[in-house]
Amino acid sequence: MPTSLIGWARKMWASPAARKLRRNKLAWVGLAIISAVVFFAIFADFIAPYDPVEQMYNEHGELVKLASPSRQFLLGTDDFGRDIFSRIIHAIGLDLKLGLALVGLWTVIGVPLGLIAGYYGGKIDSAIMRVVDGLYAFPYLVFAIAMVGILGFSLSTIVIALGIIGWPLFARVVRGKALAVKSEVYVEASRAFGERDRNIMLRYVLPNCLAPLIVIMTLSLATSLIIIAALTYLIPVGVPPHEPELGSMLAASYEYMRVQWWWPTSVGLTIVIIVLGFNFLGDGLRDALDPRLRY
Amino acid sequence: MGMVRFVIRRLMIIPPLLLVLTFFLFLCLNLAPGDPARILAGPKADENQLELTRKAYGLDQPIYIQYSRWLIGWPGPDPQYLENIPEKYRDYYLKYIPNGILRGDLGRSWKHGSISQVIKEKLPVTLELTILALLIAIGMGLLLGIVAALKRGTTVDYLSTTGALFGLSMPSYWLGMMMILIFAFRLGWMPPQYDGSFISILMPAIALGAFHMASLARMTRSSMLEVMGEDYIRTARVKGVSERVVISKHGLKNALIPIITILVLQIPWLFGGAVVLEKVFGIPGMGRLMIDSIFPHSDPYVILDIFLVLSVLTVFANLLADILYAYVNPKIRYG
Repeated sequence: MPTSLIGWARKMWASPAARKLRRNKLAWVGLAIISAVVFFAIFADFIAPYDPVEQMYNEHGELVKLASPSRQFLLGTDDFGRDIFSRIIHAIGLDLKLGLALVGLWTVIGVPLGLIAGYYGGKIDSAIMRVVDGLYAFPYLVFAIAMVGILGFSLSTIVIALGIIGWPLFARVVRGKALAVKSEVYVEASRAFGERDRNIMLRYVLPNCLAPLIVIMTLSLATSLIIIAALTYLIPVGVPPHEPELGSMLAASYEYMRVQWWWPTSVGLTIVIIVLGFNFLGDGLRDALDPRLRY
Repeated sequence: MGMVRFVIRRLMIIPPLLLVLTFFLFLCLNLAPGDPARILAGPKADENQLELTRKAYGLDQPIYIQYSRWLIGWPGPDPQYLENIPEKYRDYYLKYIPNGILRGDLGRSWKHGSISQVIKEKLPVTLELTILALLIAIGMGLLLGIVAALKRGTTVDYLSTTGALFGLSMPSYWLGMMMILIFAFRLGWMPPQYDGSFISILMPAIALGAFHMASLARMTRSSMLEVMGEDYIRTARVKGVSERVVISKHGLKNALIPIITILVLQIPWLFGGAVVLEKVFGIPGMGRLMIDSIFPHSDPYVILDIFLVLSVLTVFANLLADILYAYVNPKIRYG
């Protein structure tokens, strides 16, 4: 098994798509950013100089509130006297987890629906695609805010609210691919051999959808980070007060930004850099795997 | 003829979807922690008012009855119950019975009174913001995209494509905060918050439009590049048509098709973005109303109605874009 795995990796590395991807400088930048971000998220405890929820006191026993950046506190401290740099480092992991959960939810809902629509065609297809088209015309973020506002704020509510109607893109992309694959000879053949539809979908159709799926998952991760932070920015109470999260930190910095300008600047730049990383890599993947995919 | 049928078919799905989504939000209201009567009547309501609220909204009845009362105002209140209410509470009771949004009554809330009235007040500001943002996005996005395509490979192209990538990666609310920091606090050119003047809505509109501008610029660039390589462009040039006419009439008109596709996909995002930017710039519009209806005490019917109004507006905007699409692309197949 290990030898075949290495062989497979070697084959992938030499494929035209991989060669195209390797030549894309921006994709490398994106990959570097993402690796760094994941590294920060995993080793946050070791990288961050302080505990993200620890309140700092000086030698006179006074709370060090809203301190300016210094050698001791790289990005100063917030209104509760907590080290902003440490909070940012710790927040990256949480935001990344939320983004992954959201994209996962979109995939879990959108991919099966797209597969079914594309593979079976006919009435099922037009029914599913009408819902997809309809959902495209809804103010998706407003729905999520409404649902979170009515249900009450928690991080899981935010992810579920955004997940419920955000999946149409996934369904549409998978459906398009499934439609193209279903009349291929090997699919026809396995159908003629009496293979069950479910098996055909999972074994032949789904693997063909992987390339565009990887592209939209990467690019969606970028958008999902922005909209999750948008919701926690709007409704910062949704985040437990001790938990560092980028959107709610941005909201907390609002009041003090006139003087403590480095606070919102650094928190926002962190979001921008992470999102840029996923956009760079996603763009590169699209150019290499599926240049005609529109997103 | 084909277009009308196409548009109608696309519209058909909207009412059932709206029904499903609002019903779902209704379910959420019942699932939310706390007494729905308390949420609907507000924190100051006494025990009597809570009981009346329960009856008015039909909270003692199954959820589909509550929903139907909100939607079409039927079934109405029990007349026998009305007679038993003490005189001084009768008005309170009658006032709060939902008359049905389909009859044009968005209901009342304990915070704002008539919801129709408060939405009528708040909607124009939000529309001003979103329309201005859309205009900025379309104008600047097309311009940047065309220039980048025509000057392919030059510094201008490089700057605008990288700028667009950054624009796509920047949260609009953070961009808004940075604009306040730089243009209002440092340079003092702009008011930091909305004060009703046109100049004070410029910054939020630019911040809101930036993302859409970036993605339109990207799409314009790539589809212009594609179109400008076509044979008919070369033919037009050989015929001696001036470059300006080639670009605008032959190039842009054909490049518009994918551009409008992207635009249609983005319209629904505008209102969501507006909600966030209204918070950043303190704009008293629908978004602020929505947030005020969440904090510190939930006012669910206002939230529900705002969602409904913004959804209907988005659908209409989409319809307009569809018609524009058909106008630009007569060959479209309405399948």
